[in-house]
Amino acid sequence: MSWVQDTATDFTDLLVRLNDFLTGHGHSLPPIYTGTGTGTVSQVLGTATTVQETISVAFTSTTDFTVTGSVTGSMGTGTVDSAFTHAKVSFLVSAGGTAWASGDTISWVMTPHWESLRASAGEYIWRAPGNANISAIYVGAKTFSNDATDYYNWRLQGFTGYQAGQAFDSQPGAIPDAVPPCLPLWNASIPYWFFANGQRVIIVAKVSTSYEMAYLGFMDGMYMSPGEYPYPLMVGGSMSFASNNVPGATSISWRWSNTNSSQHANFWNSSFDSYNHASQSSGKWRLRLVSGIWSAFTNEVNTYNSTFRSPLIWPFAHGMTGLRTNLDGSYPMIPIIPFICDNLAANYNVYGEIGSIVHVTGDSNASENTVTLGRQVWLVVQNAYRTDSNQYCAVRMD
Amino acid sequence: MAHQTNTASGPVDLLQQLVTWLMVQGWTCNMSQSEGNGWRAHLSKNGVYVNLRALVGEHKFFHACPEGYTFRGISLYVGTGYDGGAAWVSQPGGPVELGTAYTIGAMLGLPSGAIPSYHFLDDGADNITVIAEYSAGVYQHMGWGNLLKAGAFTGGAYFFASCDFRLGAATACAPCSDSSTTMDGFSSAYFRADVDSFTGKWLNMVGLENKTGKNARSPFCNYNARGSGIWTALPYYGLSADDRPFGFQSAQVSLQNNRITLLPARIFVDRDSYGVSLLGTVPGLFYTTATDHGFDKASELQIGSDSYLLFPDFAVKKVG
Repeated sequence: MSWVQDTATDFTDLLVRLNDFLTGHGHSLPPIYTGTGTGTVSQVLGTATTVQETISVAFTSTTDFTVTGSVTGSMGTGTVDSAFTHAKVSFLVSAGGTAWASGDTISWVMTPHWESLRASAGEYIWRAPGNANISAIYVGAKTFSNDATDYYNWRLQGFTGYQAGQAFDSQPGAIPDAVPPCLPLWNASIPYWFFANGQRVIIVAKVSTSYEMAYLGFMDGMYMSPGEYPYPLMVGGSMSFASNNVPGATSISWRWSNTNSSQHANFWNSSFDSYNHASQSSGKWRLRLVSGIWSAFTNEVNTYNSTFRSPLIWPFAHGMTGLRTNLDGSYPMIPIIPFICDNLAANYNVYGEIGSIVHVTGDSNASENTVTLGRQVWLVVQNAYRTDSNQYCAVRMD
Repeated sequence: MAHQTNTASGPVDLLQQLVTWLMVQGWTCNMSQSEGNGWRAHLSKNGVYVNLRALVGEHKFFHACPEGYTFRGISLYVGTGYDGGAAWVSQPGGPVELGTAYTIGAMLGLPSGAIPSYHFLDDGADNITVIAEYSAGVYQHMGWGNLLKAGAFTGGAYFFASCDFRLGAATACAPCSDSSTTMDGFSSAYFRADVDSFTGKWLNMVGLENKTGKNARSPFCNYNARGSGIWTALPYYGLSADDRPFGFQSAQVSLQNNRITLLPARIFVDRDSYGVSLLGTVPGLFYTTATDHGFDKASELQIGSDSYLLFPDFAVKKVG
C-alpha cells in the first residue's frame, strides 16, 4: 500500500497533510512477485491523475525493466535502485539477495485518489473509491481544541453518504454518539505515518512519546463477501468516553497525556470507558454492522450487561501477556480479529482480520522498528503510551 | 495431497492398510510384520521415522501404564532412526519419559469390532493424519509430520494421537473410547525442538503434566493442553471455564453468512526464563465447530479451491 512519513507542524497541519495525501495521490495495493529475483518494490505512490489499473513491471535483464499500465499502456522503462517516475505513479525497485532475472515480474493495483467533499475550517469529509474503484466510502475528521486546557484533537467519523448542507456529525449514517472515536494530538510538531489504499487510511501520529492511531474506511480482511456485508465501515481512534461521562470542554481528560487506560488506548487493543462498561459509545473501535448499528469492539470481556455480550477483539480479549519472540529472535505476527460471541443473544460472528494491522510482541522490540516478513515490511507501533510486550502492533508498509 | 477412505476389520487390518498407503505416498517400509496379537511397522521418509504398533488386547508398550491394562488401537511415536534389532518401543530418538530411559508416545484407540470408516490424509509435504471412526459419529485420530515453523530452530517434527498417556495415573490407562476424541487440545502430542537449554529432546503437550521436561502449549480452550496458569501468556482461543461460552473459540460460525471459520493449530512453547514463544502450526489441521452447526461429520467443506474434511472439533485439509 502507499504510505508516507513526515512531520507536521501541529494538529491542523496534520489534517491538511492527510487531505493532501488522500486527495492528491492515487494509492497502491500490495505487490505480487513472480520469477527468481528476491528484490522488492517500495515507495509506490500515485498522483492526482492516477486511474484504476494494474501496473506491471517486467524485467528485461538483471537491472532493467519495462513498466506498463493495464489502462495507460506503456509507461516507459526503469532501472533497479533508481526511482521510477511517471505522470501516474512513482516507485523504487530494489535488488534483493537473488538478482532479478529477465522474465521476472512485479504487479500491483493502483487506485485513484480520494475525493474531498468538504475541506474547510479544520473539517474534512472524504469519499474513497474502494480498492476496485466501484465503491463510495464516506469518512471524515474534524479538529476540536481548547487552548486553556491544552488539548488539540480530531474527532473521527464514518458515514453512508454526504449532504452538503449537513453538519459533520449529522451526515447520513454517522456514529450517533456524543463523542465518536477521537485522535488526541497536540499543538506542536507531530511525526506521522499515513498508510492508504482505495478503501481506508491508517494514521499513526507521534505526540511526545505517545503513538496515537486512527483507522477510517472499510475494514481490510473481511471474512464476508461484499454481497454478504456491503458496507464494512470502520472508524478507529485512540480516545473515547462513555455517553454519560463526556468530559467538559475544559477538562484535561481530552489531553493526549490522559493515562486513564479505559479512555485512552489505540483501537486495536482498547476497552470501554470504565465509567460505564455497557456504553457502546465508549468504544474506540467502531464497525458499522449490516444492521446499521455502530458496534463497539473492545478487549473487555463484558459481563456487566445481563442481556448481551459485547463484541470483542481477539487476541487481546483473552489475555496474552507473555508472548515473546520466536526462538530465532524473529517476530510472530498474530492477526487481530473482531468477533461477537454473544451467548445471551445467540449472536455469533467472526468478521475478519485487519490484514494491514497485526499484533507483534514488544519483546526485544520498540516503536518505529520495522519487521520484515519475506518481502513484507511492517512498522512497529506501541499502544499510545504503553510499552508492555503485549501492547504493540505492526502496520504493513509494502 | 492424497486421501483414502475405507473400512477396516480391526487394528491390524487398519495398520496394514495404512502401511500400504504410506508406501504409495513414498514412505520406505523398514519393517511391517506380525508381533504378539498385533502388528508392528516402522516407516521413514525424509528423515522422519514413525513407529506404529497395532494392539489387540495387549499392553500399550509404553512404560507408565501398569501391567494388566490392555488396549486396542494403534500406538505411535516418531524417532530419528530405525534399528531392526531393537524392540518396537526402543527405536532411536523417540520421546523419553522424564527421569527415566523409557520411550513414551500416544495411541489411537479403536473399537472391539470392525472400524466403520477411516481416512488417511497426506498434505503432500509428508504430514500424515489418520482418522478412525470409533463408533457412529465418534472419531479417533493420530498424525505426524513437520511443523510449519515460526522462525528457525533445530527440530520441527511432531506427532499426536487422541488417547492420552498419563504417568502414574492408572485410570487414564483404560482403553480410550470416546472421552478423548476431541482434537482441540491434542490429547497427547509431542514436538521435537531445541528450546533454550532444552536440547535434543521432545516437548510434550499432555494434559497438565510435564512428561519430558518441557511443555508445549496450545491455544485451544477445551483441554488442558494449554497448561495450568500459563494460558494467559499466549494468544488463547478461549476463556476460563466459566466464561467459555463467549470466548473466541465458541464463535467460529458466523450468523451473518453462515460460514465456518477454521482456527489454525498454533503451537507454543515455554521459555526457560519466562513467557512463551510460537513454535509454528500443525499443517492442515484446524479447530472447527462445523459439525455442531449443520455440517455432517466426515463431510467436506469447500473454501475457494481448498476443501476440508470436517469432524467433531477439528478439520483436516484435504485439497489445497
